[in-house]
Amino acid sequence: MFELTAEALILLLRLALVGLIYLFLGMIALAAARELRLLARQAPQAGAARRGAHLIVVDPGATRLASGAVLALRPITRLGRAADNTIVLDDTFISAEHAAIVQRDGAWWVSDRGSTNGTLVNERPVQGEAEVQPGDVVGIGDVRLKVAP
Amino acid sequence: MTMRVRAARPRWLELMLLAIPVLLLAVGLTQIALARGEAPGTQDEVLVAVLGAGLLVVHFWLTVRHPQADEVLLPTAAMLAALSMVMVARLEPGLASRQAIWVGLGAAALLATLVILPGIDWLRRYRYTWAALGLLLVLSTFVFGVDPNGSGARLWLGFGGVYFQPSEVLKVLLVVFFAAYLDDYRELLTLSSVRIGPVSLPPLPYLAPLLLMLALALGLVVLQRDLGAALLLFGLFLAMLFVATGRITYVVASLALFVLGADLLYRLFSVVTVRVETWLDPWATASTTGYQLVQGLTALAAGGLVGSGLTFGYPGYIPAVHTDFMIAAIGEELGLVGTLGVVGLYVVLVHRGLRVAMLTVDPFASLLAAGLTSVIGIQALVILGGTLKLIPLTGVTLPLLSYGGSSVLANFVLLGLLLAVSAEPRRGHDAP
Repeated sequence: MFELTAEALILLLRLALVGLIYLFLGMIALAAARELRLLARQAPQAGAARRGAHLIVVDPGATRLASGAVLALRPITRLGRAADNTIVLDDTFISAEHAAIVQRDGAWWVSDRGSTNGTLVNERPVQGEAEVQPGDVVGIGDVRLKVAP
Repeated sequence: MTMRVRAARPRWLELMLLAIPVLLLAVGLTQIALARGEAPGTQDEVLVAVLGAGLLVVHFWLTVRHPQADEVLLPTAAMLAALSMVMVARLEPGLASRQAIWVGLGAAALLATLVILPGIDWLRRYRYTWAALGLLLVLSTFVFGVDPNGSGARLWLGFGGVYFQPSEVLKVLLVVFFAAYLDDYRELLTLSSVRIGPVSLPPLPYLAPLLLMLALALGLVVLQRDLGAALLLFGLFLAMLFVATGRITYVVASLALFVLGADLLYRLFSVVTVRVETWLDPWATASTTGYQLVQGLTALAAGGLVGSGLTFGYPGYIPAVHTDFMIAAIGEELGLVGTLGVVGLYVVLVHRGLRVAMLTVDPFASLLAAGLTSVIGIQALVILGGTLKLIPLTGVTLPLLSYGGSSVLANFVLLGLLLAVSAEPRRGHDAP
């Protein structure tokens, strides 16, 4: 019969101690993978539920944006010429900090951030804040961006 | 607070995962006893029972009242707590039962946080009270502070043989304050700016209260020579400011400030000078100021890939091994494998915490979760990096792993807040 000596038992327990840490990490990795697969299955519906989540470049003006390019809208999207904006518009007619599009109560709001030449929604200047729906066109300098779901 | 009736839903994943830390504690204590040539005693059984019972009670409460809460956070914290009980039993057998009491009280504090907290919004409402309370606690160490273990800094408050470190509480209270303040002024801080020539600066008047609070907190801990806490608070401020505004300019400006501040401290305080020089070359002063670091590095090297096994190494030569230098003992006796396992546990903790922050709908709760998670992550980085000689060594505890009452309690309360946030309405689940 195989007899368990104290040394062998200690070795086994040593292996078990470190093994348990990795068993734990492995179980969490498995759970996370399962959750990711579940999320991937739900993702299409979740995307459709959100409104006006993108901007489509209708007219890039003098900027380097490509016509027809799709830009994602963030809950706080800052537009302007300065490099730290969410969407950088490199055109001299556009102020360093030109406009902002903010998500609030499930809607999107455009505001001008004190720009020199103003911000337009459907070619009308924005006073304070203006709500935009999918299909509206935001004008900044010569750039035209269409709000899209 | 909305009264939403939710059916209790079993939390199978959490229950399954919770079995592992209890098993880990039993295995560890048995191995230590056998290696010392004894049979596992009643004290070992009591320790396992305390951990198991504490975890089950919290699990039960979560199942009944917060079935939506994250199921991985509690087991991961329990793994670290179990490992801390094993290591304390190995390093300081006399303190093993004390650490078990602290873990038990920690579980009770977690439960109390979940039971008493009248909703996340209540934390937001009393934001200035929390900030003032934290500063007052730290301020009181100037008057009543004691130094029970001869570390050279009077960072503790004592009542009848029990010592308590206020800076551990300050970090949690400051997260709440920062989250509430940043939530109030998020749009202003993100959108508007003051222009000076070609440079656009953030709107300073709105940042002032935040900076003032940070300066006060930092000043207090720096005056106390608690450099680890100062580094932690600054990193926390930076992380939360970035999460709230998403502006890289803030990060760059703050880092520039950090470099200036670090240089100033290096010149003004001899403590900092010594720390930096020890970091650059600990072997030059291996018998004096570099002793702890050199002993720690030697222990890590001696451990190799799989370690010597518990009780077969000599971590007793490292000063403060059961508090700040816990990872050196783990490296020596459980090896690189064990050390990476511990780092893996912290990664899981940070990942789950940030996941809670991302899924939460309420911006304040989201910022709160991100801040609490940052505290754990940054604190672990500061002390792990310090022990491994990646950055200058500053003494902070390894969250949930180091021996110490206030650290264990504060981290369990922090975990309770994180679990409370994770039970709030989430994106794609409860939200319309």
